[in-house]
Amino acid sequence: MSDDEEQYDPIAHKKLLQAVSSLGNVQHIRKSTRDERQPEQNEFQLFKSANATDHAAKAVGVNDLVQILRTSKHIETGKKLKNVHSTKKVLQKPLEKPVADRIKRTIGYEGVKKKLARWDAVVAKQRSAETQIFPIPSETIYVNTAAHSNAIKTSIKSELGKELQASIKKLNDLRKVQTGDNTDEQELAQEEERLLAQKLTRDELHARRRELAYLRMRESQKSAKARMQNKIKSKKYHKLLKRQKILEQVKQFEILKKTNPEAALEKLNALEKSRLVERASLRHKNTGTWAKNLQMRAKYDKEVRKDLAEQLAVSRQLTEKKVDTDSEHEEQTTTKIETNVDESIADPFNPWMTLKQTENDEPKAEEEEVSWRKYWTERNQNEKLLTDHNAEVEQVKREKRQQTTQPIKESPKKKKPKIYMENGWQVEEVEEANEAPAKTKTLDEIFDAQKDNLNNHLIHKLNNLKRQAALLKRLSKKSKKPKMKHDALKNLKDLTFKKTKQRVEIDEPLNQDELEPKEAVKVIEAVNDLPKSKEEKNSTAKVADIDPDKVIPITWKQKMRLSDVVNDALADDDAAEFDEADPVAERQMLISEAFEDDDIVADFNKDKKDDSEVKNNELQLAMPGWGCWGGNGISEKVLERRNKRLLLKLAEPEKRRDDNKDNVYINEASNKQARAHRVSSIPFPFKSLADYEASIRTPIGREFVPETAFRMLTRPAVITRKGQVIEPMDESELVKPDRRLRHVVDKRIKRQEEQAEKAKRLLVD
Amino acid sequence: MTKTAPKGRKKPAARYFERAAAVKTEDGEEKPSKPKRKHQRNFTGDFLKIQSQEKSKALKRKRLEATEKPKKQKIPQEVLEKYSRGEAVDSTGVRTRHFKEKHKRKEIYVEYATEQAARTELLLQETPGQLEADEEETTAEYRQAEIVANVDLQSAAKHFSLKLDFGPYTMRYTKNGRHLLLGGRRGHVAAFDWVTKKLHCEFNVMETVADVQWLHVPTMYAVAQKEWVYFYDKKGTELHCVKRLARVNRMDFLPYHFLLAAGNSAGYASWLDVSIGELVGNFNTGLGDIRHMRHNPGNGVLCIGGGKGVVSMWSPKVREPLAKLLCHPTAITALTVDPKGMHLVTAGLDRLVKVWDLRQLSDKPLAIFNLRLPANELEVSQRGMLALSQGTYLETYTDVLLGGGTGRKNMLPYLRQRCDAFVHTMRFCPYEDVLGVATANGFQSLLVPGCGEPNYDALEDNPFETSKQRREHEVHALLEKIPPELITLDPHEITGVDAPTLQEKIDAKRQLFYLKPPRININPRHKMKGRGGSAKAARNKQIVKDQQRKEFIAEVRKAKKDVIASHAEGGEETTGEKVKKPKAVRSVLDRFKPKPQKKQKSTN
Repeated sequence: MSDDEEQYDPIAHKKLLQAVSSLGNVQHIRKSTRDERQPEQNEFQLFKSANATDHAAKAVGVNDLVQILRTSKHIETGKKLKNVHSTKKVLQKPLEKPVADRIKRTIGYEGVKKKLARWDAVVAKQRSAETQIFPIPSETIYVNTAAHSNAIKTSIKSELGKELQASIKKLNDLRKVQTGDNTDEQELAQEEERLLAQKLTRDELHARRRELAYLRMRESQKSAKARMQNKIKSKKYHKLLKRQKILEQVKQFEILKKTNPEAALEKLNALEKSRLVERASLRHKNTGTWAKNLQMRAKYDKEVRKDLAEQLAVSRQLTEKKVDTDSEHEEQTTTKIETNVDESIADPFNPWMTLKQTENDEPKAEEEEVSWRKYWTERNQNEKLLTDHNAEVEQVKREKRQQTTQPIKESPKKKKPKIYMENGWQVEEVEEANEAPAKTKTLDEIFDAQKDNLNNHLIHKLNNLKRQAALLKRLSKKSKKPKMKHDALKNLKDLTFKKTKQRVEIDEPLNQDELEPKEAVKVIEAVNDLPKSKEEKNSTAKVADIDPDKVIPITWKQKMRLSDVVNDALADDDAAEFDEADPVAERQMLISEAFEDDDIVADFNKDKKDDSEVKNNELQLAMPGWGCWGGNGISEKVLERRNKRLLLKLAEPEKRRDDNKDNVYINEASNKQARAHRVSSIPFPFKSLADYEASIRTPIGREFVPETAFRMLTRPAVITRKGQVIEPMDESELVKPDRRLRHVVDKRIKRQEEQAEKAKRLLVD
Repeated sequence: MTKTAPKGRKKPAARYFERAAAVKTEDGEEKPSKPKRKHQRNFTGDFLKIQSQEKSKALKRKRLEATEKPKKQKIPQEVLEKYSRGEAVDSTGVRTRHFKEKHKRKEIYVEYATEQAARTELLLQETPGQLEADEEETTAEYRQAEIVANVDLQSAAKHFSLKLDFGPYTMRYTKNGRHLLLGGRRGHVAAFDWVTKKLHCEFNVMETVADVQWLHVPTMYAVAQKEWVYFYDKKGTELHCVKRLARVNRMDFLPYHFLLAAGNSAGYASWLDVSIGELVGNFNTGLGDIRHMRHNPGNGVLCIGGGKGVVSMWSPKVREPLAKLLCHPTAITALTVDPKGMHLVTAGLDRLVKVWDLRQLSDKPLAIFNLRLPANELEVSQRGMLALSQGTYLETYTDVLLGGGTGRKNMLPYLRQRCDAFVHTMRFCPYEDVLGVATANGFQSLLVPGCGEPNYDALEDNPFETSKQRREHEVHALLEKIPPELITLDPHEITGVDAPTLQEKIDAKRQLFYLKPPRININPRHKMKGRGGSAKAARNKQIVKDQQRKEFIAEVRKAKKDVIASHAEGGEETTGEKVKKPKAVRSVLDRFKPKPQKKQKSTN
């Protein structure tokens, strides 16, 4: 058994076992994957998987390291390492590339979206703006930041701000010490202020003006001269001019040489340099003697010609304008941005852009049966009734609410956070959360407060009334009109309106309030009746739109003189002249009586009937001959009945405008040519005919509306300044406050918008 | 020999462009070219680009409030209503938020415009007024002599009379009331500036003159003579003779359409466009001799009074009357329309004068005046005064509807006058308190205080216009000429939507029953040799034709069925059921159809 033991080789055994276990396995051969870049990849290169061929010794693991360290003197490090090893988590497998990319993209998209969303408000505003002004108006404000100038009033209160201020001051002081500047800043500032404040005397002003005028004159003279000289084209003149200048300089140089040799040297250098520059400018590339000679010789010598060409090429190369690559690049980027902006602005009405389904609730009017007008009038009426009803309900609600809300309004107003300016940035002071305690008020408290308020209000009013009553009593006593006094007392309720301000009446005849005492009494009586007749008034308002069919015509008789005997006597003698009947008129009357004829009315009605009849209204569907078999039992009656049954009436008689109007005929087949001028259906943004008509009810021409209104009504949509570059908006547009509105209309629109917002907020509350 | 630069040589000085580029990159900042103020010039600090800001918001607002309030007077509601253009657009009736916003804004503009217009009321300095009688007096007692004696010299000069010998006269004032045209039956034509009494021309046409009429400018007028209508200029030169307007009795001029309307003794109504010289309408009205004709200034419709007591209204482009109004059971003796186009005033032989509402066109008159004798002339002034004449006697009333004079003591007239001869034409002079009366013996200019509009719109009618202004006005008027087809009863019809009339709908349906299949022309593509012979092509042609015809017939049949179903006795209820039945039949493939939308349940 010992050789058995000897034979037992653990390694060999292991190998054997492995071999046995791998016997059942298929050879795990797979295709190579392209996980690395390789210049060549063999399609048929196959290799076994790692675990199948894993004969290599295990690599050194952390554990081994720990083991070693434990045994050595570095026990502690070993422990640490073990700890690390045990607590270490295995890193997750990195995501696949497309997934990772996708995530990256989404994150990027969100970021860009957020960035772009900041512009939403600006874009919306620009789109809905009535007029856009380009370039966007901005103002440059000059801020004097010189050391001695007054500092900008700022609201730095934070610790950091204070520190900064202190440090800046310190720095300034230091700098002053260093530079040896011992000017007193305060004094300087004062001096400046004083000078500014000091008013010039009249003489000084005159002198200054004269001086300015002289300067201006000189300037213009000089410029004119220069312009004239520039215009001279003569080469000779220029040559002479140049020579003159050179001579002058030489002269100066000579003088300098004697007085200041150093400066003279410099001058010489400068002259030399200017000459060099001139030569290098290639202006004289073919005017020099050398070049001219070359040209002459070039006619006969090939090589010279070649040289000349080379020289010219060099000059061309030198004078070629360099392309600024940087700027080009910039341009490209800007255009890119512009296109982006274009895309985002694009068409505001494009349904694909807004991603919003347009409601298409257009009622499909059955055009064949119902006429447009009828349909719309009916619809409008219904809508109007509904809105009226709603308005009534709302009014009642509002009245109720007013009673409740008014006292609330009087509660201390919430302070608006103050806004300060800091270098062009609006800084709002953040308010401490004071609102929390306000919210904690219980309902009961609110109600109590309201009640108190109401009571106060009532008491106040009562007092007022009492005072007024007393006053009136006194007045009436003075005037000694008992009736008036009575009235006044009655009127107390209605006299609560009073003028807030007494103004001087400049234009007396314009004042219409002047009433005679009698009339005044009447008016007061009328006012007295006001509360009683409130309901009556409502009914009278309804009466205001009179039904024209129910109006009784006013009839009256011609009179020659007053019926009173007294007045009769007063009448002139020539009045009698009017009284005598005219023989001609007499005759006319006779004729009229003779021809008075009732037939006229009947004739008219007959004509009307004929004219208003709808032609070709019926259609016989029965075919002639069909169903008319000969023989017994077929009666005319049956045939007639059938014909009647098969008679198709194409339209129900519609109500005409002149129905129930005996003496009127209105032609409803309106002017065909006029119809060509009308629209065939209600144009786009309108839902109803009434709205469409209302939209074109006002003329906007100069002749029809006042000039100011005309200008407003015809303001252009886009205003651009001539010759100015319109640059794309920058980020400063986001924080820009609204422009101050100048015109009444703009202000009114703004106010309305604000009110609407307020109302919305109220509704939400 | 070549000249090459030595190797060790210094680089040449920078060229001008290089230097410029360098400067640009170095500096970066552009120097403002605008000259600065002094304190800016000496400025040593930094530039900060700052948007415009309100400096001290609260302070400024307070100051504004303090200053703004007394600035503008509040406009009384009734004045605003006077200038208002009607109801605003209901924003719920406008689609999309954008347009809603737009219309809301526009409404504010309109509101502002009305306000501004109402503010101009201040500029109308002349106030209308009337004679007011003292107690125990009536205005009817006042004679012209008394009035003339009591008015200022300028007004007194407006009262005058002309004794002329050439028979019964007709007359017209120009639209601005400055010039007067007289035409005597026996050929006398005279045009003059009646305020300065300066005669433009006077001549005899040696023919009977039926009517005269100024054109759009006071330099031209038309005269309806025995046979034809002649045009003359201010100097009396004959400009045209229009032979297509023959035997004209009455003429009228529509200033905004540039139409000279004429009614002749054969019953023809004609409209001549004087700007292009074309007859835009000329047809027989079938009313017989047209004796009474006025146009409605409100809509341009011509009102013709007939012998049967009917007033018919005509437009040049429609050959039937737009409306007919039976006013009197007897013949009409006179008719007129008020300058605003609201009322029609007619007089008949039945001794009645009736006032009709022209816009409502109701069958009952608004007012009836019972006269002792039939009126033979009627006229309404700009301020709504009514003048009527009965033979030689004429009366004025302060109101068309209420009649009477001021104070209305038992409805006595406002003023009355007996002329020396039969009154043939009466016209109130626009913008003057003057009534012109043309009689058989001449012309009288009477003062009727308070009849004219005191404030004139100089852009519309200017009594004091210069020749330059006149020319300018002419051009403007021509540019704003209204086409004749727009003359309709309702001038606002143009704003509406065109809907087919009942007759048109019926005709369309009827036509459906008599439709023939259309001819089909097929031009088959030319095929190469061997690709089907002519026989095959013909057969194919026939097949296609048949197919198309069948389709057409099926379509028409379906349409017919629909029509019959919709008009069958019992109405739409039965047809509705019929339509519903096939819907009930279910198919397996129904699930692929779009689902019907659920009806929203009405909550409460």
